[in-house]
Amino acid sequence: MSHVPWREAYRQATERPPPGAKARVWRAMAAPPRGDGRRWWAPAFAAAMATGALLVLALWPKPVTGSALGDGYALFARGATYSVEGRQVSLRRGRLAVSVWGAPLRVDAGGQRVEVESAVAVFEMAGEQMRVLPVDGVVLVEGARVRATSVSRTAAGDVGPLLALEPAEAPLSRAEVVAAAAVEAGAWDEAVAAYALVAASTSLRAEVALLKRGELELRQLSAPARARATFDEAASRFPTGALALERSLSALEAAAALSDWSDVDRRAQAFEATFPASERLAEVRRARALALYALHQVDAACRVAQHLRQPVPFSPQCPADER
Amino acid sequence: MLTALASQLPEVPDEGGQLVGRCRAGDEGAWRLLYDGHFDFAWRTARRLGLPEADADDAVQEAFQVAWARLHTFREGRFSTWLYRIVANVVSSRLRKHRVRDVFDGLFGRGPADATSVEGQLEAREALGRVERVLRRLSREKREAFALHEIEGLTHEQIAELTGARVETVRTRLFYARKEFAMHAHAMGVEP
Repeated sequence: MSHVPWREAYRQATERPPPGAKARVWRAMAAPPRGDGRRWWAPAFAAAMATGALLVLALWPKPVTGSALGDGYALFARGATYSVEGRQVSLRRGRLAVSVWGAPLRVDAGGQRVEVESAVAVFEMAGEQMRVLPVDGVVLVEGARVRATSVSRTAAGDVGPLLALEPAEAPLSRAEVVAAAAVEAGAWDEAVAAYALVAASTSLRAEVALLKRGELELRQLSAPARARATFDEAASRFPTGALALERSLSALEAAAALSDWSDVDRRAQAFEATFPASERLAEVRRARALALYALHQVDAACRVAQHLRQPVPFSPQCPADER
Repeated sequence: MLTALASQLPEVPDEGGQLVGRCRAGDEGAWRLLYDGHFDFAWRTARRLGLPEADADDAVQEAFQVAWARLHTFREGRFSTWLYRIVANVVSSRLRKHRVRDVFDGLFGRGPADATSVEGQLEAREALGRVERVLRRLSREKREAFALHEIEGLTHEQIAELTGARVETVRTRLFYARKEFAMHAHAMGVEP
């Protein structure tokens, strides 16, 4: 490549336009606009833009501090910009405490999706990042279950006003969801603890919780003594409860698992007296017959067994008219 | 005081004053006078800021059209200073497209598309094309400072007036522009 003195050459080459360029460009230019060149629509356009800007400003969501109560959920916002549509909350900025005791609520923030099944959780938007602090219950972050952690002081400040909004049954609903989720996950102790919380209340759901708790203790934790105590607690608190029949049967089963035959006999008699028309009566009688036999009361056992359609293992020892 | 540039301008009566006023009122004759009086200046500015000759006519046309449309924004000072900024804007925007084209040409193994580098052209024109390409590689601010000082021969103060920058800023831009120009020029075989 040859070296050339560029400065002078360039200066000369760019000094003047080529001949005819001025006329050519003039012809190519559209006829110059008449008047002073001002656009008549410019002020109208500016006014429209200003009005638009004002409208946008007026409609732009502003940060809110306060609480809101919805169908099965409560919100407490602290300097938060958010919107609610159906069961979906979109958080743009600030901190939002959410309590859900009904159907799940979805929270979208910072591109993350969180499903609040039945829980208390605090959401915080720091820049573009969302932070989730589950306080109680089940929170699913992008499908993964996140357990509640200890409540930070900041989060507690938001949770307090939120819980004041909740109806009385909200914590029980939450505990039921937690228990069901724990059962599904095979976390029996967690489920028992959750049912114990519900059982502490004085409603039907407490009775249900006691029954479910006892069932878990009996079948999953293999703790029949604990299960029988739970069923007895249910019987004393809800003697005429809606679940008395199921509870009596389970208690009888717990007594059998403990080989406490006298107790089985006693519970079976009580069942027959209380639920004489129950479809499960044959089952109970059979259990009583076996218990009496175990107690070496063969005659009594045979008397009970004679009313059963299915033979019991000791039938051959019974007198012919009692078989 | 754009002595060097002003010395190239033909006589335009009441430059930037009465003529502009008449143009605003729709006087086509006044506009033609303003155009005739500033065409060479605009063309030279476009070229010396690194625009290839093939693009210069279009750029000048665009600059005058912009000047017409925005004549109401011209308030005071010299019309040529105001027009210079418009030309510089138009040139900057066109050079940006050239740079993109150069990059793509480089990617696909072709030399930069330029009328002056076509095989069989005179060596002088090739050299001119190389200078334009070197200028194109500088940022707008550095290119302006470099071209106005090294090619037009304007002083720092004159460049500051023309570009609206502070004199110290012009000095700094010029310092770096020279360094960059020398670097690219060496690589392209342009004598510094």
